[in-house]
Amino acid sequence: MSGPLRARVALVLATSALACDPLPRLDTVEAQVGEGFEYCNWTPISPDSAALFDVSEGLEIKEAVGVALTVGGYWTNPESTTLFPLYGVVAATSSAPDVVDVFSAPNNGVALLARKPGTAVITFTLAGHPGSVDAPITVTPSASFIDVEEAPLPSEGGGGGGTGGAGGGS
Amino acid sequence: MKCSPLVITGLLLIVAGCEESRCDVALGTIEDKATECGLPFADSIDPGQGTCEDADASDLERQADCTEAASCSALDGSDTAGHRVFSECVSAP
Repeated sequence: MSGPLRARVALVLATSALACDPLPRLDTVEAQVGEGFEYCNWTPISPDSAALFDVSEGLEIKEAVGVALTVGGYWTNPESTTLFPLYGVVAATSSAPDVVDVFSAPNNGVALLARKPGTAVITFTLAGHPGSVDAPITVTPSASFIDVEEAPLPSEGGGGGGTGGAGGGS
Repeated sequence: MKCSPLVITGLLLIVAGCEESRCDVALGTIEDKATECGLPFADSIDPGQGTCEDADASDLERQADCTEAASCSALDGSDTAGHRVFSECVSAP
């Protein structure tokens, strides 16, 4: 086989390999609590991003409280641990709307309404990406809810999660 | 030009494995709707990239059908009731 032909074959095979990379699959959703953060508990993803949390780690909400979240989806390249932002239309459903109902809000926003004590799972999907991420939500009775006096403010810790992330998006 | 078997094999790999797949068609539908509604989408997806597994294709086809049927206000969240219908449609088993 001649040199140019060999190069052409290599190019074809390389193109083929590139085109067959895995399809970006939603595997992480980060969120930031906007309104109602003083009635919520969550585990920050890092001290530097106190307002941001990984929804799969869950969120605790005081009974009869409404909270607003901004969410961002990410995928992880199998060859790295870096989170790459995904863009799309967020869909969210609740497994128990009588416990926690979920409503949409513009700009990757989601509103949760804690109706009664219990647990529910909010499933996030991002149009254009296979897969979904579940967020376990616990609604705690008002009387037993331990207010976090030093709850992180949404404006703390960067809060944006980068373009397309929580607080970012469209 | 004469093509060697290797070249033909390479082309067949592309045609067989990465032709416009069910995923690409679904992604195209979603991207068209997102563009129509001025919503973010195109930056994170490049139709034509990625292997199209059956499960992924089913996911994306359902998303495409739901997205195409939804209004822009339902997709961008300003129509809460519409967005709920869209979300339930996307999450339907």
